[in-house]
Amino acid sequence: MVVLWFIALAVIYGKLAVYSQSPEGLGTPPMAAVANVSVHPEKYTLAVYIHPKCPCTQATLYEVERLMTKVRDEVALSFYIFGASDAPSVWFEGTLDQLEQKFPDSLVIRDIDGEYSKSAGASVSGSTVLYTPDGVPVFWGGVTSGRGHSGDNLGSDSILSIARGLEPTRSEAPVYGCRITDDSSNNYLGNCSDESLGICPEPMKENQE
Amino acid sequence: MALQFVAAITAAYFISPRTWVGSTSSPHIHMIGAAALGGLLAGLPIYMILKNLGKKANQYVISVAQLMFSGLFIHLSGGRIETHFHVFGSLAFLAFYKDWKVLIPATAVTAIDHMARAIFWPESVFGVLAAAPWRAVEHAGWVIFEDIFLVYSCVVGSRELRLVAERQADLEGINHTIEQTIEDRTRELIDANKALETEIEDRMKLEGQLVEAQKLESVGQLAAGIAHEINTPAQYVGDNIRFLLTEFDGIIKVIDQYASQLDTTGPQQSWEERSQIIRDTLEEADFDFLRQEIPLAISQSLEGVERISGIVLAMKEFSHPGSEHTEPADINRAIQSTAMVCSNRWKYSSKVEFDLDENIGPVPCYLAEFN
Repeated sequence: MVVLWFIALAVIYGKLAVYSQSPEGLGTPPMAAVANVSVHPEKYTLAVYIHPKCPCTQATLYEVERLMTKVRDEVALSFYIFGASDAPSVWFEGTLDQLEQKFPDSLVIRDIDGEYSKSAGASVSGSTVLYTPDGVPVFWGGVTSGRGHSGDNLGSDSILSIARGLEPTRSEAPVYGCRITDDSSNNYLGNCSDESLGICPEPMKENQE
Repeated sequence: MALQFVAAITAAYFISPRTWVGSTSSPHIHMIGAAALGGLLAGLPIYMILKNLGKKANQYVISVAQLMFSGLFIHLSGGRIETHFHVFGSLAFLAFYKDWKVLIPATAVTAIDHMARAIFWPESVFGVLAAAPWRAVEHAGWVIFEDIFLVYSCVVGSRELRLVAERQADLEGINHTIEQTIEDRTRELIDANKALETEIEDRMKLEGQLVEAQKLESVGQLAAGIAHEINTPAQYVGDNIRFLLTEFDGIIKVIDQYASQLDTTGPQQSWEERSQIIRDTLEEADFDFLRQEIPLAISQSLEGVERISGIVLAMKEFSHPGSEHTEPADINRAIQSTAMVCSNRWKYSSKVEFDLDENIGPVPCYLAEFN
């Protein structure tokens, strides 16, 4: 009985671990999406795409917060919060308050129907893209080591290296989180001038700057 | 275990209740995992404790379950550093068993988890894709670091417990010896008490028999005295009756002589002759003596009979069986009856004068005991 019990534990625990370590997908790096984000003219810009209801979002925000304590002078932050076009304001409120409290210098934008995330090829909550002041994406991926799992991770290490002028270990990292849209192939769709997108992101809220 | 099970479900509910795809959601796998894994982790230890309380195997199962609960909580909390304290708290909790061997399964669970992660998902614990093997050893090493102190405390604690247990056993042994001695002494006392009770009973029986004998003796003496008291009047009553019986013939002769002298059909005699015959008969019968003595004899006899009757009545009153309860009694009469019954005992050496209150009325008392 004890052996069966242990086997059952191992199976369930293994499934949880496997789920936790299974990235939702990388998509295609948004190498041509420069015009779709507002980049800081002097700093790197880290665009973070999040689903406000996804449990993994908290780990992403925690890791971004940890990262920013180290690269506050080199990196500017932009958050894109997913929400359906008919989503009530309460959908965003909790996350907006949290961002305002933790990242008062950041740019926060409502990502209605995931248009911004689609343009960046960020189909998974927790996706980040690091742009140079010139608007060139140099890193793309998540900043957690698992689903909802905070702690040291490859994405943060790579961003930190780039921000400090070092050679990054990787230019992309797996993203662990909920899907922002149910279209797993929605990668980069074009830039602001692209007629297929037809819109350009405007800052919804600018806490500073 | 049950509380941890509830805590796991609660944590999953608050941290990751649902997973999302755009605007649609479904229950998060953490909710299912917390219920299933938490249920299993808590279920078997509780079952084993209820079924075989105190078994050594329970401790090892609890040891494994406790550290896997740590893993579950760490997983549910998204690997928060703070949640890792559950591991060290759990090890300290397991040290309560005072058996260092119980720490082995717990440590093994932690080590195996880290080794497996180091091999398959190094990033999940080390944040890098290719962790150096020593990182896993380092993580497990911190657990072992605590284990060293816990094992030491277990060994020292066990030794102290053993010492305390030995002292307790010695004390209990001494207590047992004392209790045994007390028990023996008590048994001896009980036996002695029983023997004493038997002896007392025998003595009481003997005393009872002695009392009975004394009573019989008293009764005998009393009876003898009463018999003497009755015998005296009975004797002179008898003497008087015999006197009357003896003298009755003389009286009859006198009466018969009168009757024959009054019969005119017999031989012719003069009144003088007849008178002389009667005078001779009266003289022969000593009639003057009889005229004086017979009433005196009858009077004395009546007195003797009355005295005997009084003694009998006094005996009857004296020998009243009495009652278990007090009853109103004429104690003047009782004193007089008793004095009369035992008069033979005192009348030759003393004189009794009664000074009784005639108005005392009935007095509640044990009459037999009073007599």
